[in-house]
Amino acid sequence: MLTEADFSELVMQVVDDSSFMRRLTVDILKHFRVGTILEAESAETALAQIVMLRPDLIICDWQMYPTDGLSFLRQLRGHGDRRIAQIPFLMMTGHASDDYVRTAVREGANSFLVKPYTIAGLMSHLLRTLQEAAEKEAACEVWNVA
Amino acid sequence: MLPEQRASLRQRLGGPNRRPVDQLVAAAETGARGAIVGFGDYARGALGKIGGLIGKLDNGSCAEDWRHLYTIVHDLRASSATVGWQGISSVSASLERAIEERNAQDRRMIKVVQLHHDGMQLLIGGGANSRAEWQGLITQLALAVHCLPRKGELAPVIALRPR
Repeated sequence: MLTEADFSELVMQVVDDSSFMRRLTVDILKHFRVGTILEAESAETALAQIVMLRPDLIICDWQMYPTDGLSFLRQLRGHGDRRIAQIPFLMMTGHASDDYVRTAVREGANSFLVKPYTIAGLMSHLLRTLQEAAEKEAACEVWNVA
Repeated sequence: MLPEQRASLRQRLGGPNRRPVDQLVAAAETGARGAIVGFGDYARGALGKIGGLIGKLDNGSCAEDWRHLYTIVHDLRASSATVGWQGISSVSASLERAIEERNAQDRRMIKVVQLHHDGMQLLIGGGANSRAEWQGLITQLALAVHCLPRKGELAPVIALRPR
């Protein structure tokens, strides 16, 4: 796991219809010195932002109304643009059961964080997800060069 | 910066502005305290939404309204636990479980939602502040939930044996 990180050139998106939890997560990301933070209160707004700005990571709540986080994840993974379909996705939820974890992972979530979360826990999930995405990206570049 | 102009993710993560992760976490822990201060207003807003939905549900049950109610209650449970308001979180958890497990077609369900709403209002208003008080409230609410049939069950019928 990384012990140092520079998030200043990264773009992260927070999707949550709960204004309090969204603000809290954004506030934490600002303290992590994330360069650009996109906020969306619905899946529809989030998708429009993604097409324009393609974030490096999406942090999304599962239990949203009217479109929930799982439906949004499915939309994203089914997107016609491969670069958008593969954006790392961190699912947040208040449900901790194995069924929820399995479902989210099956649908393409890269990470799963249970609320209430700790700040250290969020950081740990961010680092792991981004590191895996960076390795995948590097492997694809090697493949393309070859 | 446009996506096409960005360096690789690995390069950016290891960029010149990198900092020790522990320092970033510590800074966020200190900074997040400010965000928690506004939770009371947020919780009152959520209670207002629950009150509005109770009125709608009382005039005719609709699956979409129940789903909306569930989303608000679920959020209130998680957000209040995040800021350490255990009383509100426990009452929300009780209501969340009731909506998940109990038959919403039973007319008493609205009353149970209303009881939870009143309980949360009491807690936000400063009543039942001690752990023993709000745990007593949870026990009373659990009794009310217990009277409701589970999903797919009919309401319990009390059979009276003729004397």
